Amino acid sequence: MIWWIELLLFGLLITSAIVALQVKDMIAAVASLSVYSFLAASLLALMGAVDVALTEAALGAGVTGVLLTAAISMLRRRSVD
Amino acid sequence: MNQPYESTILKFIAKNFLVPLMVVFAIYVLIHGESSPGGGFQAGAIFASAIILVRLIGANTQTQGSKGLPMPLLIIAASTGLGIYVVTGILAQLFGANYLDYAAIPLQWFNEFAGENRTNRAMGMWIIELGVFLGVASVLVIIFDLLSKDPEND
Repeated sequence: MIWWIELLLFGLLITSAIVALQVKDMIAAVASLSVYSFLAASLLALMGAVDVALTEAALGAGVTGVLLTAAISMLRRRSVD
Repeated sequence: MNQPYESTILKFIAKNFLVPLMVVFAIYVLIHGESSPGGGFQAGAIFASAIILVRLIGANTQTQGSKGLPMPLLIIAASTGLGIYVVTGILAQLFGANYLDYAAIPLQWFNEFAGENRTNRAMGMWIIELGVFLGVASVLVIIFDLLSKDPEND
């Protein structure tokens, strides 16, 4: 009964990756990338690689989102008007 | 960065519940690293997340003037982590084994001190993971500090 959970997670994984690539707002892309990392961590934990899942959840879903948001806040967006 | 909001429920929960939980969990992952999932790298990432969370919610604005862990201390901690790793490897060479073959390091005195029964290899692995923990945690906080610095005030 676990296969449909994995199928749902894979579907959400691909959806969040496509959303992160296609969305225009950078903060929304970072949020979608964090969702991608957390779903990847859940899939890795389901496959039994708990060590890799712990790293992915701590680094990919936690620290990377904060670091990317801080990097975006350093960018200056100049308007043309 | 922008000024943080004052006294929201989110900030209260993060400061009083999440940060202590993350610190305790990081130490748990570090200590039980050689026998269960986890290790120095994961513990360092979780501990750095706790420090970054403290900086995000602006908890250190209450301590006037000081900005939490200063940058030179973080650089010293990162270098100390790398130094622990390298010195442990060279110490194994001094006892006649290969580099990082820490089964050769005599650590039986620590077993008697702590009242445990661990092999030399487990103790050497723990020392290596302590170095990795220091290095990873401080380097992640250094990256966040450099990125969140106000670019106009340089």
